[in-house]
Amino acid sequence: MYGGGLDPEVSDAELLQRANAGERDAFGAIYGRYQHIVYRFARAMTGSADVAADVAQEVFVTFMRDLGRYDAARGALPTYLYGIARNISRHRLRRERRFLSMESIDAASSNGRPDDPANGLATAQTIARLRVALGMLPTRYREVIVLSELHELPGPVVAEIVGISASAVRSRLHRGRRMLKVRIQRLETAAMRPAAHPTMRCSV
Amino acid sequence: MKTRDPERGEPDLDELLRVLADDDARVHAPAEVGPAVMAMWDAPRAPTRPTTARWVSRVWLGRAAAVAAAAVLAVAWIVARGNIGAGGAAVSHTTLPISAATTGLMVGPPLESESLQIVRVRMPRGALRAFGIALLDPEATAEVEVDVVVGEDGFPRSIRRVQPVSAGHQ
Repeated sequence: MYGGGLDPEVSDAELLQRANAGERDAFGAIYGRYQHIVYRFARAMTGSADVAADVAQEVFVTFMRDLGRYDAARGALPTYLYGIARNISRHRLRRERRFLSMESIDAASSNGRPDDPANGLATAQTIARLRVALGMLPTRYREVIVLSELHELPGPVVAEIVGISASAVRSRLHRGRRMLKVRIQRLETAAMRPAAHPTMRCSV
Repeated sequence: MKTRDPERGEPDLDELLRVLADDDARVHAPAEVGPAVMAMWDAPRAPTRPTTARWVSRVWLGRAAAVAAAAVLAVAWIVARGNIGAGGAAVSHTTLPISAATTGLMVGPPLESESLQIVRVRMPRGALRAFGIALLDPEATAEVEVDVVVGEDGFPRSIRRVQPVSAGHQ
């Protein structure tokens, strides 16, 4: 738990003001309040829990070093943090594309703790397949789907984070969903096909 | 769990995404991230410069890198011309041709709000080839000192001040 004994009702603006004045607990409270959305976003974007942890750390360290740079008049704090997370995630994706594993394909990465093991396995496989399909989308579609569908942010906020118009967000969302559907169907078909002659393909 | 549209036989994407969102909502950053972030807070922080100053300094850094690259090319060209003997035969080098020249090699672009650090390292001369720096005498084995500009992610952004290790510093 971060933020020491600070009242959880304290506003972001006050926490920022106090963090700017050097109050450690205030920054800790900001971290505690937003670490999960930053990490979740980075995880969905990079497809890797390890890279997401690095990105989350980098986001808050970057934010910490430029606390005075945030301007509340230009957007809410979470929007600003999403923006930093987006930049760093994209940067890492560009740099480490060849190193990223498809660890999301591992059904064990699901967080569900179902009572019915069979149903739980099916759910875990569905989630794993969906994560893989999401990871196969081009970044510009993936980020819009992650922000709109998984983080349930309204269109104007997504537009602000991504830096495009609200109509462009709608367009990318529509097209991204269509692409996602096709990829899920392909993965389902591939999963049902017997692997009598497994093939390996690589690009050099 | 409903994952298919019963009428069309297609996956119900909204339902799938809702399941993924529910699964995702339980995710939190690993426990080690928080202490690492707060350790950075506790570490003595360098005074931050105004944003404008940072961009101005980056512009000048870029210009300096361009000038340095031109200087390196000029030095290399002059050295290459000097290698041609009277009879037109190339004279082989046995010493390190890189002097106190500065080179700016962008390994990766800096992030918008990134703080950069300069780390001086000593490396075998041959390692410079890995950074794309042409060596006139690949067989020489001297050591060189370089300043590596490192980004916040630990990756190098540029290399500058390549110079041979002087005898007094060995």
